[in-house]
Amino acid sequence: MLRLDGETALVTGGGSGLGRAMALGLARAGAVVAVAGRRKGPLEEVSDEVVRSGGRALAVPADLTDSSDVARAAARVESELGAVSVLVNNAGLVRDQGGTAIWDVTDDAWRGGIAGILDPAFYCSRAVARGMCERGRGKIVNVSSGLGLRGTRDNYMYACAKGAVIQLTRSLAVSLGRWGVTANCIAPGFFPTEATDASPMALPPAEFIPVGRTGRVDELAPLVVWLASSASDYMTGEIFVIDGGGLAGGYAPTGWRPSSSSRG
Amino acid sequence: MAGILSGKVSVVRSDDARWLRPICGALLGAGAKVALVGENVSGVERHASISGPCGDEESVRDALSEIEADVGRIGALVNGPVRPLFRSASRVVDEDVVRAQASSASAHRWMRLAGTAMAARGAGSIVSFVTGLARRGVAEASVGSMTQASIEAMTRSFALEWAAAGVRVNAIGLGWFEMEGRPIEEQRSERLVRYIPLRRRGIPDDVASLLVYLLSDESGYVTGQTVYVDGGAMSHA
Repeated sequence: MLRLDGETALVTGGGSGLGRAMALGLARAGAVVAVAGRRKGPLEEVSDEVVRSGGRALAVPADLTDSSDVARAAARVESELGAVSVLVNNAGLVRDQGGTAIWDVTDDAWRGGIAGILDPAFYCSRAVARGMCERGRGKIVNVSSGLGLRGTRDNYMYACAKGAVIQLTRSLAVSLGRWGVTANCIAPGFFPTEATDASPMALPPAEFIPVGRTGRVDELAPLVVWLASSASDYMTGEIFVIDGGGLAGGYAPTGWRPSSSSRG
Repeated sequence: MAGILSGKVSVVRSDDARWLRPICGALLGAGAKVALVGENVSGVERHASISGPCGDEESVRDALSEIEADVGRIGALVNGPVRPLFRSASRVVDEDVVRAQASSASAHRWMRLAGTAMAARGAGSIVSFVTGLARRGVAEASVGSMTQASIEAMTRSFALEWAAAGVRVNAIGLGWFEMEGRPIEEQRSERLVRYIPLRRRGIPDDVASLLVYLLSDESGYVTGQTVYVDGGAMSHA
C-alpha cells in the first residue's frame, strides 16, 4: 500500500460521492485532507470520519465557482493544514441534467453548465499551482468522465466541460512539468452516487457495461492514492479510464457478438 | 474529381476481392491508370493485371517491375480492406492468427516495396483501408482487430519515414460496411445499425471520393492520418 504521509490533499466536492471516497482513501494512506464544497454538513461528516480514524482533516465550505471564494478556501487550507501538495479537482456542479435538444439549450444553461464543471477545476488549479511550482513538487488529479472522451446524446454542457477538463489536464502537465508538478486525469465510467440517484437522467443499466456492473466509488481510492503518490511521478498528462471496459468498446452495442448476429 | 488522378499509375490490391471493383471504379473515374493485382475482376478496365498470390518479396518486386514496364512509373498504392475474422476465442486456432499476421505482412510488404520505389523518385501516395477494430474492441474480434490495428500503426510510421521523400501514407477507416446498400427500414431492424449514429451501414460509394482525394496531389499536406468514415460510430460512448 502506497503511503501519503506528509502530504496535504485538497479534494474538491469531497463531501459526497466520488470525492468523499477519494478523500477518505487519501486520508487512509496518511495524507492530511481538506474537503471543499458547497454543503457544510457532508463536508464535516467526512472530516469527522477522518479524525475519528486518527487522521487530520478540515471541512472547507466554499462556492468553488467563485474565484475569490476559492482563493479564500486555499488560503485557509494552507494556514490550518499546510501547503497543498495534492489537489483533486473532483467538484463539478452539474447544473443541467442533459436530455435537452440543442435548439432548446439557453445561453444561460450553456454558460452555466460549462462553468459549473470547468471553473472549479481551473480556479483551484490556479490557486495552488504557483506554490507547488515554488516548492518543486505537486500532484494535480482532475476528474473527467468517459463522456469527456466520447459523444453522448443531448448532453452538451457536461460532455464539453468534461472534455475541457482533459485539455486542462494536458495543459497543466505541459506547463508545470518542468517544476516537478504532475497533472493527470481520472475518467470514470458509471458510478452510482447520491447525485446520480437524484438525477432524472438514469444511469444505463449494468448490461451496457462490459464487466456487467457499475463502478463502486471505493474503487477510485487506490487510483487516486497512486496518482497522488511519488509512484506516479513520471506520469503526467495522462487520462486514466476506469469504466468496466466501456471505452474499450464503443463500436458495437455492449454484448453484441458477430456470431449471434444475422449479419457479420 | 474527374481527372484529378489523371495518368497516375495506381497499384490496387486487396485481401477482400469484393472491394476491387469499387476501388478500381473510383480510380478510373478520376483518370488513374489502374494496375490490378490478384484476381481478375470482370468488367473492370485496367492497364495491367498481375495474377498469382504475390506472397513473397520476390513476386511483389516482379509485379512492381512488370507494372512499371507495362504502364509506367507507379504513383500510388491502394491496400484494400482486409476482411476481419470474427471468431470466438474458444474456437480460434493458431492458424487463424498466422493468417491474420500474413495479411499484415502482405500489407507491409506492398507498402514497403512500392513506397521505397516511390520515395526514391520523390513522389507517391499510399492509402490503406482499416476498420474501427483498429481502435475499438468487439467480442470475437481478437484476431480480426490485430490486423487492422497493425495496418493503422504501420501507416503512421511509414508516413514519417517517407515524409521528407514526398511519399504520403494515409488510411481510410471503415465503419460497419456492406457491399451493397439495403433499404433503410430493413437495416434498422438490426441492433448494430441502430447503434450507428447515422442509422445505416456504409457502402463503398461512401469512401470513393475520400480515396481519390487521398491519392491525389490535392491532399499534399495530409500524411500519417487515418480518416474514419463510419456513420459516427467512433464518436459513440
